[in-house]
Amino acid sequence: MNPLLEIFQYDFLRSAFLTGTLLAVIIPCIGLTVVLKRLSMIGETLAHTSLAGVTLGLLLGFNPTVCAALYCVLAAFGIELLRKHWPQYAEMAIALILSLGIGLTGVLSSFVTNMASFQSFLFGSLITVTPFELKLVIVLSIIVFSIFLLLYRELFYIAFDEAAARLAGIPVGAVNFLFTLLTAVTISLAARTVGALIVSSLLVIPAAAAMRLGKSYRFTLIFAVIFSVLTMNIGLFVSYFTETQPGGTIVLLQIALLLLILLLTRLRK
Amino acid sequence: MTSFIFKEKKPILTVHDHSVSPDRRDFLRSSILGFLGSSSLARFGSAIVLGSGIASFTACAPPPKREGKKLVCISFFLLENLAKIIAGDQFEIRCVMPVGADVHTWEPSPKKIMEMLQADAFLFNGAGLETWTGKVIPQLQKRNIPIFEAAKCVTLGGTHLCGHDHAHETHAHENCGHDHACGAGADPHIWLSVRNVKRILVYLAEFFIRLDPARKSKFLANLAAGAAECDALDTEFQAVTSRLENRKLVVTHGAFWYLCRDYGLEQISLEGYSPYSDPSPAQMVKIIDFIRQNQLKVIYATASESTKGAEAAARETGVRLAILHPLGTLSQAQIDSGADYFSVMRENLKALEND
Repeated sequence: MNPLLEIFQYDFLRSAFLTGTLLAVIIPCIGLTVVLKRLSMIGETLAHTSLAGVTLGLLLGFNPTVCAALYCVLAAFGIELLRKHWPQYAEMAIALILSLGIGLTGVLSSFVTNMASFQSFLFGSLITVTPFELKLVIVLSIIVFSIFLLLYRELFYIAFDEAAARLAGIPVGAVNFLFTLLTAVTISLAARTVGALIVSSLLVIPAAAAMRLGKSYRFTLIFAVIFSVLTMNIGLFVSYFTETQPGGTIVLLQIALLLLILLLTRLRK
Repeated sequence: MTSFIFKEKKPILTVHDHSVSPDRRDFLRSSILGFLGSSSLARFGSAIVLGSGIASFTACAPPPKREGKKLVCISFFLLENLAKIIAGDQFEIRCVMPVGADVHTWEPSPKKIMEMLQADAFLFNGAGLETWTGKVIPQLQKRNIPIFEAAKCVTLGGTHLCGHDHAHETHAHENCGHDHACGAGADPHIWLSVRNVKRILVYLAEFFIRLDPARKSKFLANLAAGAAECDALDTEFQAVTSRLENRKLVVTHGAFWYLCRDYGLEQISLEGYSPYSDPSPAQMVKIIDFIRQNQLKVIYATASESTKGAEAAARETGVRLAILHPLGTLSQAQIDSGADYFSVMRENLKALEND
């Protein structure tokens, strides 16, 4: 059998490719807006602060995954609120929320008496995606993608200039609210399914590469999605043949391609 | 039993008590042997006589005197369990690691270190299990607190490999320093062999008698009972494992080397899979193919760790997922239900029996 097709006889690898591709489509859609709003670090931050939600869930006896998602939503709104206090320094709000989350996890985790449950709610991996998680990702992708298409124009305005968007009659508050909610839920579920590394890099690297290529918002977005779907799939193949970790391999491939794009655009000038 | 090779042991305990002279020590040892009598224990005993050179710290400052019972601090749950078998309620035994903490990653708080420094003795597993002891032991030695290292009582072997991915663990494991696990050091899970545990009990009794000679008869009686329980469990394991058709044990965490050695089993650990790491697709494929080729019916996941990787392999191959408990830590629920070394090992035995 063709060695390239050989790997599709394993269920877990089929799930990995499907999950990876779906996330590679929706995360850069969110990512471009996030980057333009100067919130590039939000992926890593929400993925790590959601641990506080897991810990709280375990302590209070609620479902840890739901608590993590809820905590992520609260943290994302916390960032939205805080960043208004320092309009020029949006990243400071992120650092504050990250510190709060990790501090809270550190203190609370000493009360958790069952490490097994704690660890199983930590970051997932593309390789261990369960059938339930796959369904969750499919539903999430449909929701995120359709909302994104519906709010395409509004998000485009807000990403560049909130004040101008307000003047153009866009309900900035409502759109921001929805977008923040969407970002938080996507990041927390995706991090639990495939790991924080993949989520936070899919959020930023494709957008960074596409911003060098795209001349318009729409083309930048399309480039970002193509870039991330391509690197996700090639990265998974490479990680199979080189026997390396998928997350790390995909991210390294993305960075390599990004550097290549930087070099080429430089030469063309 | 024949697999034990008695090597020259390094000093297993340090004694600062002036009242214990070298002659007295020999007397202690021979009285342990005399008391126990049983041939297998006599062989253990002779190992002590031949092997253990006991270093004597003849320092002057005694540890702070406390009213009543002596305080013994212990690094982790299992050793606390063993110490209680020997000491009963004769000592105040305190496990510094809290319930549910991960033995690989836990680090003591300054308050816990203070507690250890005020103890009359300190017991730890060694063989790289508790990485934090490297920082605490020099301080204990400075205060001449007697130290007992369980790993020095047994013949170490095996390897303990795991693919811990440090990039993902910045939140919980900053100080993890996993030199033992990521290299090819010996397997630190010595207690998963009942025979090892019996040896540790003998050395523990000797250590405790030296600590508190007045309670010698109690310790020896407890040792006899504990050793008998070990023998009974060993016999049960022999009976069950001799019937096993499949001699290959697929485990998610390679913690069972000593157990496999005792009963002629082979441990195959899902290398590269660990609760902290992102397993590579190629490794998963190898594991899946291995399970299929050997027509295995069961994979053993480790309790107290995430089972995501094992679950994925089980889903793919349709084999059963069973739990083996490595006893590094117990959950509060287990403790509440009165679980101890012997009860959990019997659960492990049941898991093997259903193979």
